[in-house]
Amino acid sequence: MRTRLVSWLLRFYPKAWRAEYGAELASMLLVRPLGAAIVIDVAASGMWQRMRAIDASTAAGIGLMLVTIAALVSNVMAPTGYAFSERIDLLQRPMRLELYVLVMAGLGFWTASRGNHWPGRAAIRASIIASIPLVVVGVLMWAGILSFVELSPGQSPISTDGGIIYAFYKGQQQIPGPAPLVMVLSPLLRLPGAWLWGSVGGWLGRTYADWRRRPISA
Amino acid sequence: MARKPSSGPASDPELLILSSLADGPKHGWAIMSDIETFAGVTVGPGTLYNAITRLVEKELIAPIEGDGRQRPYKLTARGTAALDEQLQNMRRIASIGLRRLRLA
Repeated sequence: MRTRLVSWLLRFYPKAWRAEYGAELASMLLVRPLGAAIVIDVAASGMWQRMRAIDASTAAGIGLMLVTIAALVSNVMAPTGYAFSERIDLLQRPMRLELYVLVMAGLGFWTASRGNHWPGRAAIRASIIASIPLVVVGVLMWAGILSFVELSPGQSPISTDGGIIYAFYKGQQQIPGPAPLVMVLSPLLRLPGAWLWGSVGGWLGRTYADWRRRPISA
Repeated sequence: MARKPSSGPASDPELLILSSLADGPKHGWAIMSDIETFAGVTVGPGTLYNAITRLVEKELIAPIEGDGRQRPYKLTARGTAALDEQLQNMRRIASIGLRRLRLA
């Protein structure tokens, strides 16, 4: 029972950390009384180590994913027409949104200035992670759990059938509403933009790193 | 984790570990017991190994080969210098604070 609890607690830590320190920590836990305070201490420390092990592209992707989830939830729970154009852009046209572009370019800058040769790839990874909620929405649409209403400028977002509604806001161009397949494939549609802005940030990051390393003239 | 000072340098696990290793190498369990004895602080195993991880990454301590599953750790030259500097700073600040208290 105790061995199983210790082995469960060690799973909170990343694999690389366990390979280095796991045996030591386990041997300490096996001979020490395991009260609630110790269990919480070890679990919290493990989660902290996991957070430290996350690379920049995953962290940026998770951050954008949380923002996307918040926008999706607010879209479903309280569709408010065209009042919050940033929210609409985040869900439908993220590459037009300064926040998205800044995160991609910032990530490219960060990774390239630390010697990563593939800043565009890091931005693509972040963009894919950020798009996961939209894929889930597409699957829910496919399964008939989530329906959507198409709204034109000036149209009220109030629905009539009482189901879970995803409000899709048409722009000035009369583009068709999102088919489930389009939602599921939306991460792919964002890749070129993510790569482009990640690479632009990467170029700036490399330039900055070269400038930092320049020899100081007398 | 049970008992920690509420604030101040004596609550810093990294400083406590460095101080514990100042008189020779110890493994995790011995470091924890030593800290309890000289500082009256109980550092939880998770907190202890988080601090050990950071200190190894900063090259202030290093593991040495030992028998059994517990590896002993020793202070590096950089760790000795860092501990000395921190303790000197603390002593300077403490002496100034105490002197001002007596004058007040």
